[in-house]
Amino acid sequence: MAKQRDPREEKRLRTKEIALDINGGDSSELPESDKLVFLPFSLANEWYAVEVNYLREVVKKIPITIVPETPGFLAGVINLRGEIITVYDLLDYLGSGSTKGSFTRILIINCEKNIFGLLTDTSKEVTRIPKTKIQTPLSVINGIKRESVSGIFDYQDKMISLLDMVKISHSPRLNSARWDRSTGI
Amino acid sequence: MMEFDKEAFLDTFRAEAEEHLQKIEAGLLVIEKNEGDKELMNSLYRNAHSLKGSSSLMGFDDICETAHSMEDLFGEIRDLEPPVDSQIIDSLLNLLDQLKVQVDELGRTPEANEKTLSKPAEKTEPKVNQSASGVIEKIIAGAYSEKPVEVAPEPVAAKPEPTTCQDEITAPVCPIGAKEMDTIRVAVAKLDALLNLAGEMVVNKLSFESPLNDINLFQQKIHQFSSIINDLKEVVNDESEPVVKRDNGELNVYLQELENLVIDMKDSTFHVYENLKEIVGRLDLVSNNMQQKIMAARMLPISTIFNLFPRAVRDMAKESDKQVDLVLRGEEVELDKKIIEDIREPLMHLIRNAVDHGIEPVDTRIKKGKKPQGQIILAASAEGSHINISIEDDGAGISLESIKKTILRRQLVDQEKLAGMSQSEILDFIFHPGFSTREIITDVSGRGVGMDVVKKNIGLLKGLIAIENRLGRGVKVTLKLPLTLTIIQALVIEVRGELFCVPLSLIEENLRLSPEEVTWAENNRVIKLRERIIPLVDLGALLRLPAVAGQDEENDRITAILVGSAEERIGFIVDRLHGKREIVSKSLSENLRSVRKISGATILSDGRVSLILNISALLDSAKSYRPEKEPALAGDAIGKAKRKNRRRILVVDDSLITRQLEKDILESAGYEVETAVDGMKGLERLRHAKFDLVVTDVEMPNLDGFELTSAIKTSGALSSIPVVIVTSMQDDKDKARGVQVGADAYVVKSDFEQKNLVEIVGLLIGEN
Repeated sequence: MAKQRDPREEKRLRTKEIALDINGGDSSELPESDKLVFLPFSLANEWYAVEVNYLREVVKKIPITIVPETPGFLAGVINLRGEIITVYDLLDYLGSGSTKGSFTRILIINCEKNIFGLLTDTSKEVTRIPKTKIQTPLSVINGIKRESVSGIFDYQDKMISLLDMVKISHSPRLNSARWDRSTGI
Repeated sequence: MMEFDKEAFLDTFRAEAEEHLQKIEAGLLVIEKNEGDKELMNSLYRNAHSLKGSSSLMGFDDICETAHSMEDLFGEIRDLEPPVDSQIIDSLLNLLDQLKVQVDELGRTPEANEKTLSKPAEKTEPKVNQSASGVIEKIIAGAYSEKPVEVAPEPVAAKPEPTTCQDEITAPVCPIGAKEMDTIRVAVAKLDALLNLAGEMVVNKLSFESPLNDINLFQQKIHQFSSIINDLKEVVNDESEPVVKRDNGELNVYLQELENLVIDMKDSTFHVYENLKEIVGRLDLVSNNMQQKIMAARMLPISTIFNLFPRAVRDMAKESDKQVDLVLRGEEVELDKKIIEDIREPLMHLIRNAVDHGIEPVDTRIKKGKKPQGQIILAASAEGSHINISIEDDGAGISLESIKKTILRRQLVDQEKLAGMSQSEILDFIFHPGFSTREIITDVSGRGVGMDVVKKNIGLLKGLIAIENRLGRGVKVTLKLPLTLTIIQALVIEVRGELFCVPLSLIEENLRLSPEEVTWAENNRVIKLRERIIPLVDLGALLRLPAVAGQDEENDRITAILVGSAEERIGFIVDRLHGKREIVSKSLSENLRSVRKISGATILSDGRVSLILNISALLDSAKSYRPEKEPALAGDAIGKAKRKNRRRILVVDDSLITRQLEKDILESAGYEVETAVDGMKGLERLRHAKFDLVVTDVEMPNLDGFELTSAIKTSGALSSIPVVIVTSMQDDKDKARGVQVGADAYVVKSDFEQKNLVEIVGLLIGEN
């Protein structure tokens, strides 16, 4: 069953190549460390970005097994080549609705050894922009969304919110001790 | 009897001790080179500590004593900065050599062995302390005064030359080498990995089923094809009605070729099918066999833990001045090492309960006309794919009255509801988290293992616990456990479109019921099965799965699985059954591991993840389940219905940040929280509104935390409200003051974690 080559590595190399292709000319004069390499994706007509460093791979829609007694933002678990991975409905997590019915892809995030999936509607190619373009999030967004977004920027006439993966993956909301179990005695 | 048991354990002990000693030796050498770190030091400390513990359990007091000295010394130096004085290392190595000789001697000289075994433990107790501290003082003093240290001139150390063991000279260096190597110690993790792979193989083997079916289907298609060719042939050759004007001979040649081809195809697919079937059959045999053999490799007789208990019971009985006889049965029953390890603590707790709370003091027993000596029977028996372990005492039984009192004090249910509860429902409360009669909780770790933890651990092992109370005649606790954890026989069930696995060992039987068999009693569907009334609970609703529209209409028969112990059976209604399967239990992400109704997950042959249900937790939940309380549509609406009856907490603190932090933590745990800026304001709020609990700081203007607590506890109306003091003052004096003014719990801010606070609050007033 196991493939010869590590699919993660393969994916990573490929995304890197694509990234180079797309933005080869643009901002090449900038050193690598001054650029943000990200994957833009959409959730209910809003655009978000995740840094490629934290992206393990993107998988097509596969059946999700729901887990009883978990909050709505926990979409369920999937089998990714024998590994069971917990998948979150980011839109629900941010309090802006749900992607459970409409998602087409699952982003597999690997952030400081926390591995989890995020539902997404559509994703584009890996892209890079100079970090200077990133602004602090608007003061109008607040609450959980304000906490989860580390910056915003314009890209191809879209306003993209850059997700703070470290914060999200360590969020106490993901800790089951705080879920409303509402069971029994 | 006791000596005999220890004999049986000697090898295990020696192997373990030698492992510890090896690690300590290797570690000391690293530290000597200044390459060690705190972590290493800590692990060496733990090695010494474990050795101390196991030798004391075995009654090897000499070893225990030396290991104790070593542990103390490690404890003394582990906080010092890395360059450890070489003299200290020398001292430690000396102790190590001493231990090596002591451990080595165990098997060798029968007299010495006999001596250590029969030596009563109590006598040496003071000596241990004395010599331990003595050694440290000497060593520490020596280390800093740069004088050579003479370590512990104990009787055993008096023979430093290993040549004392005259018959086997190689012994101290490599004691195992002297023995015949017919066993090998393998890390459990390695066995686990193997077992997991074997399990994967068994499961993957199942995926052959579908290609086999495909080939079968293909065969049928070929069959159809060939019959069409036959028909075509007939049509072509029908002289009466020539459909084709052209030369039929040519057509017939093509048809003949086609026919031959089809026959060939038939043959070869037949061979492929038959061969594949045979291969799969053989693979089946081999993989099952392999799985069983690997599984057997990690099975241990239950005597491994049972034999720890006679000594433990003896000591417990002595402590509490009772006479207790422990009878062991079925020690030869084998089960998974992991399970053996994980039931040790729960069993110890259950036995301690039996001795402490079950068996009566001698004079009480005589008065009751019982034998002065109480009896505890610890029995194991294998039954199919599971094992039953029972702990039965002939003591006083559990007093329902005292349980009721605690229930009311903790406000777990109200008086009215309590009155309507059955005996077994009341008895069940002893499994409720934090159900203990302890008066003050000072920190979480101090609580020890309660019945709730016992139950939780058994549930995690995919087992069940049942308790049978015979008032005045004792208590019988029965644990039902699978023989192994990694690969289990499971029934795949479908509930509202989702597939779940249920360990087969926990299912009594499958039921197919016609609607007429089901009646209603007290808002519950029930059935009568062999003269017993059994409640039926809709598993989908219990799991709060979203309803699937128009699914169960077509089928008016009800399918259910019957689970539970003999005392309390429940039928869980499911949509349909998908048959038995061998499944490999896989781990879930950290946060899902504590979801109560789930004990694991597996991957089915179609690649989908299926969750393994925690039947123990579901039974609990089913008992308190009232359909009318459920929201009509579960799923997204989880918890909404609970809002109404939220518990209210008052947080009193003069620091805005602390106030906000505590408020957030408690609110996210589902409590309703109000705040007050000092004790005076807090007291005012308490007089005007109803609160279920108060969390207070100590140092505050106007009225401090102690004064506030005291005011609450001495005011009649408020005195029943639990108070949790949260403070940075860690002094024992302050803790004592907290107790004195009547606080129910004392949390120190430095070890203040949100989980900690929520847990304590949960203990005091119940979870929301």
